[in-house]
Amino acid sequence: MTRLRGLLLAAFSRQISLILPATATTASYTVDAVGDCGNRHHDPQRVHPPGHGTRHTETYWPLTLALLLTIWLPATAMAIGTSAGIDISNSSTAEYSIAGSSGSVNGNTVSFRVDEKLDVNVTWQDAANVGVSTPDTDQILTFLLTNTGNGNDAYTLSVQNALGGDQFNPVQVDIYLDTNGNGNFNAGVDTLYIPGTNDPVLGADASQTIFVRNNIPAGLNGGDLGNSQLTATSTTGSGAPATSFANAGDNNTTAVVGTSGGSSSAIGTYDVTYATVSLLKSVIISDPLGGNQPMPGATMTYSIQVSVTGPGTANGVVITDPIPANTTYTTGTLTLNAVSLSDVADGDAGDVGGTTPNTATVDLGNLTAASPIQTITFEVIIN
Amino acid sequence: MKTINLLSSFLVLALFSGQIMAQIKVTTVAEVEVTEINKQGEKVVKRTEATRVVPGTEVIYTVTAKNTGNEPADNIVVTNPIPEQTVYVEDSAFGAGTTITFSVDGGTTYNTPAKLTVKDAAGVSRPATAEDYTNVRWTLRFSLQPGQEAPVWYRVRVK
Repeated sequence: MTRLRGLLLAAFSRQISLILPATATTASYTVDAVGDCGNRHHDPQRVHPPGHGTRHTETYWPLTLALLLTIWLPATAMAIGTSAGIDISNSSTAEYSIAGSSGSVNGNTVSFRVDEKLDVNVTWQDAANVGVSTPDTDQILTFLLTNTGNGNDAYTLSVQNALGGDQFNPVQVDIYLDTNGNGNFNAGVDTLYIPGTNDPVLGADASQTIFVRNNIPAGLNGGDLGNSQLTATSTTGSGAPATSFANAGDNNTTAVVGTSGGSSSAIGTYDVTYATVSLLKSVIISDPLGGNQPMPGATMTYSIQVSVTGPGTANGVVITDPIPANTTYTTGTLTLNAVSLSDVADGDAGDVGGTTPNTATVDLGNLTAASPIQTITFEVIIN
Repeated sequence: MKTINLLSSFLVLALFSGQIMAQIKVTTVAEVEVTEINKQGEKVVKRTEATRVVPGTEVIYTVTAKNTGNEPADNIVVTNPIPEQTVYVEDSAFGAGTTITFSVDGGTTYNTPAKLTVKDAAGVSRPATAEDYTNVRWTLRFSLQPGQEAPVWYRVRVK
């Protein structure tokens, strides 16, 4: 039983913790009381494991917004610098008159070659601190690496997590390169970064999205921050600006370290701001013969207990639960915390069939760990 | 018959031009400024010939017109096209005793900065900026005496 509840917790916490940092405003839950479940399980204390007796779907606007933000974050456009290896030539002309006759003359041609400037810029892309649980695994920070030099360059990537100004050190897992260029981490699509093997190669002004994955230690407090820094360093050369590397640049030019020093870092931050919403659903069956068999005419009393753990707030929690197939809702039986709710959509917190046909909907508002456990009950009769 | 006439006058003109061409010499030098620290520990800005530069570097073009003949030269106009991979650095053109004008159409017409306009993509006219300049022209307001040199210069930033 404990294990089942743990499963429920895990399933919910992942989604909630993703949402809350993006100024979450809505969290909705759908709890399907699958009809045949009631027919088989009649242990009044039975908890339905996810995907079997209880299925939940969360629809979060904030998540959608967060995705959109990521997609629309503009990659800072840079003016394209003159390519390394180009010769820039110049010559002057003069017109004049001497003793009443005019003439013109062309001067010498002077020329110099454009060397490769090694410059790079790394920026953290997440719109806000990335909310995490404690402990947590494979939490992603998104960075953008841009070649701000004027030639092709490759970069070595590294992560530094022992940084000041925060309350905990994330533990590095790995670095991924955004292979499909959509700005979002896609497991199985994006490429694991292996230093020296697939160092990202970028042309002048080209960008590459980088994902840094860290684990989050256990035992942290709500509001604790953890910084993680991604550094990209030119493999052609880095060091004090103006340091030069003969013949190392494109077209055999000299590579010259620019103002970035050929290396750039950016810090991303995790924030322990999760709220874990747990749903505990049970059913009690009472048959017309005084037993607890799920036979036609038996009454099934569903009970959904909603609680929150963690330091964050689950905002706008709405529980929706379709009336199981082959059952009929007993009108007037919807309750919240032992207080009866009318079946029509009106001023009170819930309804059955008013918001969505043949579905119980209860709006619980904002919940925190300090909120009392919310208990929703309703009855159906097996047809 | 007409062709021959035209040809002969062209030849005469060419010969004549060649004769006076030797009298004015125009030389362009490209330099960059390098800050060095001397033995006294002071920062000294030195100019060295530009051979290799990186984008963002300022290059100084110095154009020197010299009268190598033995007669004074008048109405001297020195013209320099701004290389396309560079941008003119605002207010950097100088030439003692010269009137400086710029072109935004590849050298067809010249004018002072305040009077230069360019058309944007929608065909609307706007004042030209340093980025729009294509050529620099120095018109000397004095005669260049035999042996005399007139240096003029401007700066560009490599894109």
